[in-house]
Amino acid sequence: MTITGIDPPAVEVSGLTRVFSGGRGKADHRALDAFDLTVTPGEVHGLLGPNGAGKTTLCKILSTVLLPTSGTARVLGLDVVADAKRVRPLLGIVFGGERGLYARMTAGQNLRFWAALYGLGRRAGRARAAELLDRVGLSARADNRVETFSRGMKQRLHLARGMIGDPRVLILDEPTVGMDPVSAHEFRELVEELRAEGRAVLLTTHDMAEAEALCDRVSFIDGGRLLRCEDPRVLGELLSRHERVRATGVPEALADRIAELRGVEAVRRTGPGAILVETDRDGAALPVLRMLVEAGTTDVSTAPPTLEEVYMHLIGDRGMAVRS
Amino acid sequence: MNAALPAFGAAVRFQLGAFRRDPGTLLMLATAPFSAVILLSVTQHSGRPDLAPYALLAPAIMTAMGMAVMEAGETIFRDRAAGVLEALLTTPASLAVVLLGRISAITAVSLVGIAESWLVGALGFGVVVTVAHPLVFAATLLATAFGIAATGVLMASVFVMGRDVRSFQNSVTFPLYLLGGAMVPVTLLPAGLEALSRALFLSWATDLLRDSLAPAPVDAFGWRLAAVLGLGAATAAAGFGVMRALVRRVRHNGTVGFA
Amino acid sequence: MNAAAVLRQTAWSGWTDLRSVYTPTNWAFGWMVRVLCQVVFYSMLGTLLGDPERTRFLLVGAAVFIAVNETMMTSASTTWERSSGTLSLLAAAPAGMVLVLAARSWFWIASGTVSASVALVVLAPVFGLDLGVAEALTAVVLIFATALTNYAVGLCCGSLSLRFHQLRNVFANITLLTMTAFCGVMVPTSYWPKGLQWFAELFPAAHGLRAVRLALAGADAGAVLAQVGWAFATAAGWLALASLSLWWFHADARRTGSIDFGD
Repeated sequence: MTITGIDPPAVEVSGLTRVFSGGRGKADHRALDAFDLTVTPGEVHGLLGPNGAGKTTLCKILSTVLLPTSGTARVLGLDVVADAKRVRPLLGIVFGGERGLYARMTAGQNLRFWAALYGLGRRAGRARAAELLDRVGLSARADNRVETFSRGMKQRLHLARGMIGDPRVLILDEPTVGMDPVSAHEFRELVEELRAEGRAVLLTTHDMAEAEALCDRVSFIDGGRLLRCEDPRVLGELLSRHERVRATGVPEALADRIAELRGVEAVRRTGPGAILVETDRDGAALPVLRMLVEAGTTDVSTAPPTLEEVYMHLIGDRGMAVRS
Repeated sequence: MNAALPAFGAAVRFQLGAFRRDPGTLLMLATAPFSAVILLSVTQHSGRPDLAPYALLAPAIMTAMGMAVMEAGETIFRDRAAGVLEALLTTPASLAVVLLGRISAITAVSLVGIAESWLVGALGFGVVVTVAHPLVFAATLLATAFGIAATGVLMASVFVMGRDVRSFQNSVTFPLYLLGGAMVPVTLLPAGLEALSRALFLSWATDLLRDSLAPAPVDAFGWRLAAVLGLGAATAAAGFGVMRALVRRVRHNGTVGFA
Repeated sequence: MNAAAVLRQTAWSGWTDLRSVYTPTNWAFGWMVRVLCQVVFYSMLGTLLGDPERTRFLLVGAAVFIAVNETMMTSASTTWERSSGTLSLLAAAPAGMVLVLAARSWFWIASGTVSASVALVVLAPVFGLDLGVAEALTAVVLIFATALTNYAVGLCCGSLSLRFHQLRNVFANITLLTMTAFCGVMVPTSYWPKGLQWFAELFPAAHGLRAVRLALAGADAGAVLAQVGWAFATAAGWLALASLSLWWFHADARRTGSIDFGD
């Protein structure tokens, strides 16, 4: 496919802005705000952000379903506005949840339908549908109606549907939302295969562990803006470094002693005798736990930091954390 | 009992709000004037102004019955789809009271069709129909509204019995219009069908309403009104019976519907 | 783009829609009972008027308009794409959405032709309409032409229903009732003021129904075919309008974001 000798980026987004007019009396909503992003061929790029961050808006613009207000977005060098017709065959789209399939048609009929829409003739469509059903492990259910499928099966069929046009770029918009852990694991294995085939994948998620496990790079988005683009290992470090300890029945004096421990960033009082300890060093949670247990506290738990907390550390805004 | 009145009021307000939020649910009121134009054009074109009252009463009856089947008939179904039904069953108010409140509101709103129909006659065709026996008309209209609301309760309970049952929703209207004598009195139906139609409160109601518009004295008013009320009550009893079975079923299996 | 493959697959998807709308049981004991009751309801206006000629006129009008009624359901089924959540995927597919949306509801043409033909043939003897085999067959063919051409009108309503989803049932119903009132179903079009007569001529169903009436009255083939020609000519206009409207819907959705992932 190399024509110019230099492969263009799989996805190249620059200054992308999308404003939704708020309607009568309401303020306009800026879903994307001068957003920049580059995804290289063969890369699995994670787009991590809370709900409403602008992830789906970006996916919709890339997949030619929505026009940007300003800025440019290119897929393999083609502009999604000016060259929408040429962009569409290059893309595969998969979104999470149960929707987007014809429930009363069989898995095979669904895929053959979409094969036709992606320009495949009858025979090629049949062959491609069969090949993809085999690949996602649904061959045995090819002639069953989709309405009889489990959620995980529907999601695998969704991925097969997204692959029907043999796309060089796949957009996966929160594909594992609501999936059980086993299905999510299988799904991730399929994404690994896509990378191995040299396809570019843009994966949006608000699951940090998923982003860490799957992606070559992770972009953090919030309020329609790109916060940082990082190696997922940075994410892994943040997750382990900022572990949190939660406990109840903690006397004031004990809480004060915990706040003095090395690596304890903050101790927040979340209720009468209840505390939330935030750490900022690897292994800092261990002495906190020890001190609590030795003092006879039995209601103790640890958890990874929330997305919002990781964001706070990423952008260096610690003003919100109340030091004890 | 103590929760009944506030629950009824809340259900009425809820339903009126639903009409505002989703104007598509008022479709039947938008179609009523068209039905009036269609039916009145036939009687006028044939040079039968004496039949104008028939042609103007029918759209009103069709609108009210249509809304009982298409809108009232959907109330429980929609609540179940929205996951509200189970929550409703856990409140002190009985489902019957809530349902009655909503369906009363639907029936009351559907009676606007009478005014629409009259206006089409007056403004579109210059035909003004007067009510010769206002008291008979008013009493019969109230009894008819009761029967229509009862039909709504029955439909609402029956249409949640399963997907197969609900697929008949769109098919109920015209059989009811025909057997209810909405336009053509059931005495003109073949004998077998006429006998069947006499089991419906609507066939008695439409005959009585038409008679109340005509100058001739109304025969056996009391008995005929009793027939409307009695058959309406039987419809209500059937509706609430099915609904009680439904509620028992929910409590027993945790699911609504027999399918 | 391989339009033939797209149409073939869309036809399949429509077929599964049809099977989910009608089971043999609810078609025979639900829908057909309603159809027969509806046609009887209107035909009996003639009985009420005591006019056999008028009864036959009403019977033919009401029966043929069952096909029109059913093809107007195209409006609702066009929006089913939104309820299955495939609208955004169609918008992103290389073949685009217009062809699929335009072809997906074809089954109403078939089922409308069947329902209307059954109603006409079954009720003809009941209301004193003398219908020979040749006449019946001709009527079925002309009913099919009426359903086919009115499909374009249903499609126009469908594109409006996609855009204004809350009012999805309103467009088709109001259009159907407008046609029922003014297109010569219950009274001859000549009953209405001149302006309304011209307005009625814009609808393919007015011409389709007139073709059936002419054929049953033994008019010569040329007159019948002329009406069929008008039905197709007006339908072409409606089809162009529908395509434009669907294309506009797609363009407008891209601009305003009215199609979401999952829509």
